[in-house]
Amino acid sequence: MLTEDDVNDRALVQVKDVTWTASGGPIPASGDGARWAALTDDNATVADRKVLAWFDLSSDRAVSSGQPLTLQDCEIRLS
Amino acid sequence: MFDVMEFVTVDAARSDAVRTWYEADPNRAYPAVIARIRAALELGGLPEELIDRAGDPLVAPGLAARNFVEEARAISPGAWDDALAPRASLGAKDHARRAARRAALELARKWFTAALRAAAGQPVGLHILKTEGAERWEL
Repeated sequence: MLTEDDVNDRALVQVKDVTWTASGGPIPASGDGARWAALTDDNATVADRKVLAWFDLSSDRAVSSGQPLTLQDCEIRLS
Repeated sequence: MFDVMEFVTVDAARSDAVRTWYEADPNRAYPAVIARIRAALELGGLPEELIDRAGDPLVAPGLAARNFVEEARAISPGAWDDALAPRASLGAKDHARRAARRAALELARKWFTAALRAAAGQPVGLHILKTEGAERWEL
């Protein structure tokens, strides 16, 4: 979904929804739930990936094994 | 039911085989969708126009609708009135009301675009036009 907002002189890109299903354990595997989602490039070395944008999930999110974790309607503002 | 297609026109020149572009006049779209949100909050249940049956099969069709309703409920009721008035109608130092107005307008825009995507059933683009008097919808 693309939006050109001439009223506020900006463009918005809504990222395609993505779903992960926890398998063999919860997501995340340990610790607190995930509070942030980061959009990165696809560098083969995970540690070297550049963060392009981040999304506040508004609270710590966790799912148990077998349950889906879905990011829906995440939006990037270009202005 | 809120019919988002009543508030958009197809921009054929900009559309292609992948994506259809629509244009919307904010002077019509914002009041309509804000009225719709208020009605949805009063009525309860899931707003039909946000149920995306053509979306990702791994995502429950009503998930987005439920999230939108929850987000709308979290916005102070007075913010919807403020959203219908220009930002300048609020005091420059009234940061809380300005923030709430902004949240209401942003949610209204997202609600509108989600409804458009669900109605179109394919990738879409939305062009919010700067029509006469549209400055009142500035965040």
